[in-house]
This record gives sequence, C-alpha cells and structure tokens, in this order.
Amino acid sequence: MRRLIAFSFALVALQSCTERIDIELNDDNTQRLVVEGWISDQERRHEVELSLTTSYFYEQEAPRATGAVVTISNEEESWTLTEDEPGIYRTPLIAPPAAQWYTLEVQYQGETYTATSWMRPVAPIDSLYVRNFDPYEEYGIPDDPYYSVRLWTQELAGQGDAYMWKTFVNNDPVRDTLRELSFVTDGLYDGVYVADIEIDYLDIETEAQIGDTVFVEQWNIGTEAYDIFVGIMNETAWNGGLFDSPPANVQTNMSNGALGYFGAAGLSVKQTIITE
Amino acid sequence: MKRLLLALLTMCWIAGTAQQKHTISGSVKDATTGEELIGASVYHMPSSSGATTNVYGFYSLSLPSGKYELTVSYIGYDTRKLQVDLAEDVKMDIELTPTSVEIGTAVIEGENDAVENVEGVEMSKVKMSMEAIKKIPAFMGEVDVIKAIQMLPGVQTVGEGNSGFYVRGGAVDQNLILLDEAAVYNASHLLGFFSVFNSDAIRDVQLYKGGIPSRYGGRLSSVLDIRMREGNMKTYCAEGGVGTVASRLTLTGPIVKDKGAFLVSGRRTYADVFLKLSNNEAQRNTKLFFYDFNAKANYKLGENDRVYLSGYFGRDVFGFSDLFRIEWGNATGTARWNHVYSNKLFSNLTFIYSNFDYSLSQDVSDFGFLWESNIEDISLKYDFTYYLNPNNTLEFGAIATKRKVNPGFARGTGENSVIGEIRVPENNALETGLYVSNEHSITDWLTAVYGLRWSTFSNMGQATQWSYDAAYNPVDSTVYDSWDIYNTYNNLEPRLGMNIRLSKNQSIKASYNRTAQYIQLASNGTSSSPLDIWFPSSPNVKPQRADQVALGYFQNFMDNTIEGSVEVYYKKMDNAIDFKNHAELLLNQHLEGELRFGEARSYGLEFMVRKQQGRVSGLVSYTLARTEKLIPDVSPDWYPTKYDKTHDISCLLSVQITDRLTAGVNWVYSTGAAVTMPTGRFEYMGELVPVYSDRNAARMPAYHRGDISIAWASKQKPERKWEGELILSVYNVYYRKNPYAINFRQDPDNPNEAYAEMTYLLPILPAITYNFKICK
Repeated sequence: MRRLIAFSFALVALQSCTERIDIELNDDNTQRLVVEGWISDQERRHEVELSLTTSYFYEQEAPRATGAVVTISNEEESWTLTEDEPGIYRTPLIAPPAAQWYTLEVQYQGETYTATSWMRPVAPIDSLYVRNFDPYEEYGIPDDPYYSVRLWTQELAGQGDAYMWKTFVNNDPVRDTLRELSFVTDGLYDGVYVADIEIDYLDIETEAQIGDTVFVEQWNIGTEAYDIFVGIMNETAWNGGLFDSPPANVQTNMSNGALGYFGAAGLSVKQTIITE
Repeated sequence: MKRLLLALLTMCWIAGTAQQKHTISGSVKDATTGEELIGASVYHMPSSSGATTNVYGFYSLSLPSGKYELTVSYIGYDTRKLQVDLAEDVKMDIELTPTSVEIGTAVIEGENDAVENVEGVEMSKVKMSMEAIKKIPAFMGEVDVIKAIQMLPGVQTVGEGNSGFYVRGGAVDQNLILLDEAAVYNASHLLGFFSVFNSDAIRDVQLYKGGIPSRYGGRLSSVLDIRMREGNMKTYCAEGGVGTVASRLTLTGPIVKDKGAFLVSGRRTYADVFLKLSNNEAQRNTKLFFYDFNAKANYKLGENDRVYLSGYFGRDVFGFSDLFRIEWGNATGTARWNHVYSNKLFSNLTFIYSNFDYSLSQDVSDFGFLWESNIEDISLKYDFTYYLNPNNTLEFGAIATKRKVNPGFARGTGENSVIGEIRVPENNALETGLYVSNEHSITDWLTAVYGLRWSTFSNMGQATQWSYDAAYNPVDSTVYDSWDIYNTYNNLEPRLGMNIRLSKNQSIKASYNRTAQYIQLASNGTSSSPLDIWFPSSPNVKPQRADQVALGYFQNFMDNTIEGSVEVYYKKMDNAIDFKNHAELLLNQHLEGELRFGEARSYGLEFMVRKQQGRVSGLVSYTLARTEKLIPDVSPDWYPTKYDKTHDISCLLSVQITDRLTAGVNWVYSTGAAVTMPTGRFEYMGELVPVYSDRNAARMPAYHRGDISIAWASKQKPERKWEGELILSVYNVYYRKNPYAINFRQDPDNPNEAYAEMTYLLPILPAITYNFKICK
C-alpha cells in the first residue's frame, strides 16, 4: 500500500527531473561489523555473512570479516558455524524447530556481538500456480503480459507475522536483492485464507518460459524483520519521494554497535512447472 | 486570573475621565462595493485621538462636545476629511474611494499608506492587500496569497513550490489559517503547488508572526487571517480569468441595494481535459484536477444588525481509470451576526464549521479497499469590542470548539477482497478560549495593548486512549463513552505589546506572547502530504507551549509611503514534538508511541522595507535566523530543524511602465535546508545502506529563483464596461535547478558503487492568463 501511494504521488509530481551531482561527505572512518544471517526450519546449511562498513562512496564490495567465531543456539542446542568462504559462515546440515528463540553470537577481534530472534511458524503453501497474465485484459492497465506467480496459503491467526517470498526458476534465484523481493505484514490480512494472490512476476522469455520449474520459498520473517526491511528500503530504493521522512539509521537487532540483522523464520516451499 | 482581570479593568477606568463626551460610531466602507474596511483609521489630528475599525469594519470614537475635522484613511484609498458636529451622539457610515493610479495626471500616492507601520501598537504583523499580492509574478499564473506571505521576513519555506510555511521557527502545523474565521486544516492543492485560496474571492490577508492578539488562540507560531470579499452592495459584476492551469469566475452583486450583497466564486483546473487528448492510454485514463468554490452573502437587518453567511468547498482528485482514486479537500462554513448594542459596544456572534477529509480507494479484483480519514470542528464564538473612551478599546469574548478526528479507517471493498480492516479509533475533544484585551493610549507617545487568554482543552469520548511504557510500547487501552471528559489541560496566555513613538515617523515596539496548542499534524516528510493526520493533546501528549519576545524599530520614509522595520525575536517552545526514526504515522492506532518530546527554540533578526502603492511598488526583506530542537530520544544534542534557514532574502518590484503596461520581478534566496547525509554505508541483501551520524548536520545547496511577469491592461474608457488584462509570467526565469532533495543511490550497472542524485521539480515555466471584469 505504501508503495502504491508513493507511486501515485510520483505520477502526480508535475515534472520532476534528476541529475547526478558531486557531493562531499563527512566520512566516519570507524569500521563496524555488519551481520546478515538467517536460520529457518527447513533442512539446510544456514548461512551468516559478516562484513564491515565502508565510506559511503567506497567503490568495491564491502570487506568481509574473516576469522570470527560464530555460533547459533536455540533453547536446547548450539551449533558452531564454519567459515566456508571468507566472511561466509555456515551451520551443519540441520532442520531446527520453529516456535523457539534463536541466538547468534559472533566473536570478532576481541569483541562479542549477539542477537536473538523468535522463529515464527509458517503455514504450508497449499498450491502454487504460474499463469500468463495480461494486465490490459484484466485491469485495463496498458502493460506487457508476464508470468504471474500465484499461491494459496493460510495466514496464521494472530498479528505479528510478516512474509517474504523468494522465487527460483530452474534452481536459480530470480531476485537476490531486497528491493526485488516482496514482503508484507499480516496487518490487513490477519488470519484470512489467502487465495490466488500474486507474489511475484516473471518476464516471459527472459526470466521464464513454458516447461521451466518455478520454486517458491515462503518465509515468515515476523514484523521486527519487516520493519527493518522497510527501514532499509526507505533509506535506499524507495527514497526520492516527495514525502520522504528524514533519513535515519536503520534499526538492528545486533548488540554492541554491530549493524544488520539476524533472523529466524519459519519457511515453507513449493514448486510447479509452467504449462501455459 | 480574577485579580488580573480586575486590574485590567481598573486600569481602563482610571484612564477614562469624567468629561461630558459624545460618540461618533458606524462603519467605514468601500464606496464602490459597499464592503467594510478593516483597520481603517478615523482620526482627530489636533488631539491625536482616533479609532480604528475592528475586524468587522466598525469604529467608535468618543470626544468632548464640539466641532471636529476627522481624517478617515485606509491603505489604497483616498483619505477623506469630514466635518462633524458632536453636540450629541452621531452615527455615521463613511465611504472611501479606492485610490486610482493614473498616468499623465499627477500620481496620487496614499499619504497614509504606511502610518500603521509606525503608529499601530501591533508588531510582527503584516497586512497584504489583494492588490499588492496580484502584482507578484504568479506561479503558473495563479495568484496565491500563501506564496505572497512566503516573501515576508520571518516566513520560511521548505521545498520548491510548497504551500506550507514556517513562521519564526514554528512548524507548518503551528499556523492558524483562518478563512472567514474558520480554521483551514490543509491549505494545499496538488501537493502544495497551489493553495486553496482562490484570489478572486479573497479581500485581504493579515499575518501575525508575534504579538498575537488575545482573540486568537490554538496555534503556537502565527495567525494567517484571510477574509473573503463581501460582494458588492451597489452593482452586479462578473469577473474571472482563463489561465494556463485553471479558470475562474466570480459573480458579485447586491441582494438588495445598499442592504445586502453576495459573492459566488469558482475555480477549476483542467489538466485532465488535456490528458484526455493524449495518445498515451495511461495518461488518458488519469484523473487529475482540483476545484474551489466560495460563496458569501451578507444582509443588513436594520441599523444595528447584520448577518453574514460564507462558505468554502474545495477538492483535489487524482485517479487512474476506475482502479485507483485519491481525493481530499476542505469544507468550511461561517454564519455571523453583528450586533451593535450601543454606539460603544459592538458584538459578533459566529458559528463556525470546518472539515478536512481524504479518501483513497482501489478497485482491483481481490485487493479492493477504501481508506478514509477526516477532522471536523464545530465552534461557537462570541466577540465584543467596547470603545470605552478614545484612549481605551477593549476586546473580549469566548469561543468553544468541539472537534472530532477520525484518524483513519481502511477496509476491503467488494465481495472478494482479501483485505481486512484497520480502524484507528476516532477521538473527540473540546477546546475553549476566553479572552480580554485592552488597547490603551497611555500618553501621546506611548500605547500599550495588554490582554490575557485562558484556553482549556479536554479529551472526551468517544475515544480509545492507550497508555505507554517508558519505551513507548503500548500497554493498555481504555474506551470512553460519548461526551465523557477524561483529561483536561488549561493555559493562561498573556499577550502584551507596546509602542513608543519617537517621532511622527519613528517608533519602537516591543511584545511578549504566550501561546498554547492542543492539536498537531503527524507529518514527517519534506513536504506535508494530504494524508497527514491531525492528532490531539492527550494524557500522553502534553500541549505545546511557546513564549515569544520581540523588539522592533519602525520608521517610515518619504511622507509615509515607504515603511521600514527591523525586528529581533526570541521564541522558546516547550513540549515540542518530533517523530522517532522511521515512524509509522498512517493507520497506526499507536501513533502516540511514535512521538518523541523535547523543546525547541528560535531566534532571529528580520528586516523589511516596503512600498505598497504607486507606480513603483515593492518589498525587500531579509531574515537571519536559527531554529533548533532538542529531543533527547531522537538525538542527544540540539539539532537544526529542516526549516532552519540562516539567511533568507526576498525582493519584489513592480513597475507601472505606461498606463496599460505593468512589469513585475521577484527574486528569492535562502540558505539550503538542513538535512542528514550519510557518513558511511554497509551492505545488506544487496542494498548499500547508508549510515548516518548527526541529525541535520549537512546543508542542501542554497535556494534561489527569479520570476517575472508582464501585465497588459485594456484601454480604460469611461463608457467601456469591460476591463481586461493579459498577464504573461515566467517562473524560474533563469532556470535554476534548485534541489528539492538529494538522494543517495546504488548504481544499477555497478552494484558496488553509489552516487548522489538531486531531484529538482520545476524548470522554467511560462504561463499566460487573461483576466476580465465587467460591471452593470
């Protein structure tokens, strides 16, 4: 809804023009630890990535934080992660239970950083369906047809759930940056049975074609993560609107001055083949 | 409180003497239309006694028995001298003729134009006539009172072409904007590029930046008092204009000659008409327009009674096909009854209605929804002016307002909508004000105005009130029944002003005022959006309060045709409100949990030179100011507000080149807005996320812009009834790209790199307007 409003106002704005400019920033040179990690109830090697902050106009990928000791624990067990690649730490192959607290602990260069997250259960995807969708025919919106990825699922009763969907075509992620993913809270949909809603769209030919396998992950990331995602989006891809709120640091659940987010999420998956 | 009132009254009585006196009273009017003139002066020069007409055009002056020559003057009108024999009480309505400027013959310049600047006791007050406002090159040809106000010292703007304004460090919601006494909650059309005030329906505009009279209350920083025209008691006229974005038509005339008059006025944009002609289907299906409708009628019931009815209705609509629609608008209504109890006691009873609402709707298969919100005021006000004696004019009165806010109700529509319902419970409040003030000429060089306002505010049912813990998390809620008062605040607001006249054309003025505010806007963006909602004081939100002192030096030049002023002010604001980072202000029933509290301060120096009448008129204003907030939960130190503009310059010049050709130029400059810029970044899920340090520590580039206009009037002949005028205006004439915002973005081609990008809204924009007037 937020994006819809932003979009409509952008349309109204009589004629706004943009131009790249050179600007001098007051860099803060202290490097801080950044955490990006998720654990779910699916059986896999769950991944935590550690990196460092840079100056804003830094021209390369963020430096990785290597040599850290990383553990994840729930109320019963604890797992030590191994650094498979520089800055990428993975658990053993595990399928930990939902409805528990998960704690991440990182020891890096003499400092300890922690975060905890509640793993919300998620309902299964009852049905997944990809169909050719013509926005002009359906809504009168003049736009090209695309593959609409649609699903049926139960939204769990009780506020606080928030969903993120990731789509894979033939095992390759279609979208890998936050700005390309869709995420939504249950604020308006609490406890309803969600039928035939579009959670992603695929370009015909360039992204998918008949016979391709489409695999969808449904993450219940919870509203804490949702708010942080919205915060990140407000500071990045969504900024530039007429009614932007003032820039502000994105929240984190990491302690001790680290940035980023460690989350635990219930995860359900489903796959289908494009037939039309 | 009681003792203070008593002291006030005693002071007035002492000032009066027991001499045999008679009173001359009545109203001062425009001779061509019969409209009352507000603030016209009726003056006896030799004894320096005089009276000014009140806001309803009424005056009363008591003098010892005898024969007098009275001077009646008003800006933009020829001064009149009247012989009066005051052997008994006299009732006299005085008509003044508008000053006409003619070439060839001597140019008449109203010699008393700027007298008020030096002699008036009120400071930090600027009055602008529509005449003067129409001379300013207008954005897209639409004459706009708010844009005119923004040229004044002490008035700042943020963002290009915005109708919001910031007075002496006050936020947008700290301006009391009154249209015929009704509060206007959102003065913007089309995202602020235009204001809701159709210039054809407006008579004049008065802005109080300080020394706010005790009859006004409810906002901290300023009062913008806009009065609609009253129509024409003498003849029927039609006037209007065809412009680049909108057309206007206004009809005025007598209901019964010299007894009653009416005005109806409308304006509508027609961008949507052109969009229908577009080749692009998306544009063809786009709805985009706004309109305003003003109406007013007044009727004299008898010698001592007059009634007025006025109303405003305006709306903005934006939509796409039948799929999506957003609309918003104000509606106001005012019913007034003026009654003269005696030749010294004038009264005005007013019933006021004001409403602002918006709705958003979507009609897309399973996602149909409707979202509505509104704020509604119903007020009753009774005001009195008592002309005790030539040295004391008392004003007193009371107002009560019942306010209902529906902060937002969104729900799915249509049979299949999967969208549930979010309802932020409505809230109700009762706000009252009781005031008294006296304008007291203590000696011939010293005038003082002292007054007091006692305001109260009560939250009442129907309402749902949440309580919060120290971390602003909601704990529990209580539901109150209709009319159940559960929380009350009150404030005593002293208002003082004084004028020390150093000479005929020089004076020093000082003022102090305290103001309180019980309702505020949840607005967090660069611009205020039509979706912003107003929220009241409550057990969790203490009323905002401001104390302001100001000192000024005032001098007129060249026989009172040029006015000059220098003022300094200091303003301290308690219980100032800001919002937590990434606050969610819409459809949030825990809105109060998003608020953070602290204090604010503003101080500055303002300078203005102005010439309002004659072939050459104009204004130069300069403001040097600082505005800061301290909100401990947002930032540990004082930080500048976004509207903290160190320097602000406005220049305005209008020259009548020939009797038919007038040229106007304006130029504005201000320090760039205070903004927060990144000091570093990190990566998260492919996004380059900025890291910030101090709030608003960086500055945008300075803002400056020039506009020009040329007006070409039709030949004036006595037998010709049709007057026409063609106006060509160019906005941003030297195409300054003023950054509206600077955003930091990820390079799509190289995701590891970021760059800064500025957004600017308005390029060079020429516009053409044709205005006409015809009278029978």
